[in-house]
Amino acid sequence: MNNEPKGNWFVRRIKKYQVITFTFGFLFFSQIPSLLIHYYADKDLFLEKYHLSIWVLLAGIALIYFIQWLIVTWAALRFPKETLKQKFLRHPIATIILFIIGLTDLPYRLSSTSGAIVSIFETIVYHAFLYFLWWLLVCWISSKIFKKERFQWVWYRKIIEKVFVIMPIAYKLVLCLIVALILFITVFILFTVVFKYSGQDLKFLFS
Amino acid sequence: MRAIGLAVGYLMWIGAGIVTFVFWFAAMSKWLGLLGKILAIIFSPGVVIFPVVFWIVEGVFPSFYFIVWGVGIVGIIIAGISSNSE
Repeated sequence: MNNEPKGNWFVRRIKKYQVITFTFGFLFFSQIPSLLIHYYADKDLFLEKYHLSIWVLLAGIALIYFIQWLIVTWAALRFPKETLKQKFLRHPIATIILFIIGLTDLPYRLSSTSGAIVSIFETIVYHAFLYFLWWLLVCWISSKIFKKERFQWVWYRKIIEKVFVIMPIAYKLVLCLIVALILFITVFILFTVVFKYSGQDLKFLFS
Repeated sequence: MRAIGLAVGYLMWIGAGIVTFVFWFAAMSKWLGLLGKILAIIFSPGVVIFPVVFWIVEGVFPSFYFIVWGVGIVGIIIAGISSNSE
């Protein structure tokens, strides 16, 4: 039985990794409004600052997101769920240490964001992926040094199994919540502009 | 992608429902105090009655209520399209 999606490699990869594609598509499209606002607010300052036309900058951002998508889907292709789970179980010390370091480093990374919900989400995702790559490197070095699995903790195995069940659901839920909130605000603003809403009813209600 | 569309659509719909409920609850508690709060939990605002009453009592058309309601409808459309797609 062949469950592989049909089409060329690009379409196949999109179909196979829909959540990853959706994440990068959402992050890319959420960049465009702020870029356009920045551009139309002061065109001369914008061109002076970036030394590029708006089209070149847009194409550049699209290219960066495409390359990021390629890297992440490559990693997903290279490390399927079961392989990754076995790797986590084989390297408990590396996992625990890198998890603690990543968690303590996260507030510093978040302090450099603009405070917008999409920006916070993007920073967390990039931070997690960066630490995932570091973890892979540590695991690779560790597997070269220690040929046998040294630690087998029942509590650790239980946590990893639970994380592998909860994480995909939690990630999808958080992503959908953010997308729904952004869409909610966007549609609300669109309706507000169309119906020339002044907010008087709310003023009366909460006065 | 279907599941994401469904989740986003329903979340928008539920979100709009919560916001319109807050609007209804705030109006009822402003008009009737504690009794209004209890009544707001028991009764639903209705499609026409509550906005008309609000318009008469406050003298302002409740545009916010209808805009949020419109957002909820957009959410349902997104969920509907997602459930029909492959």
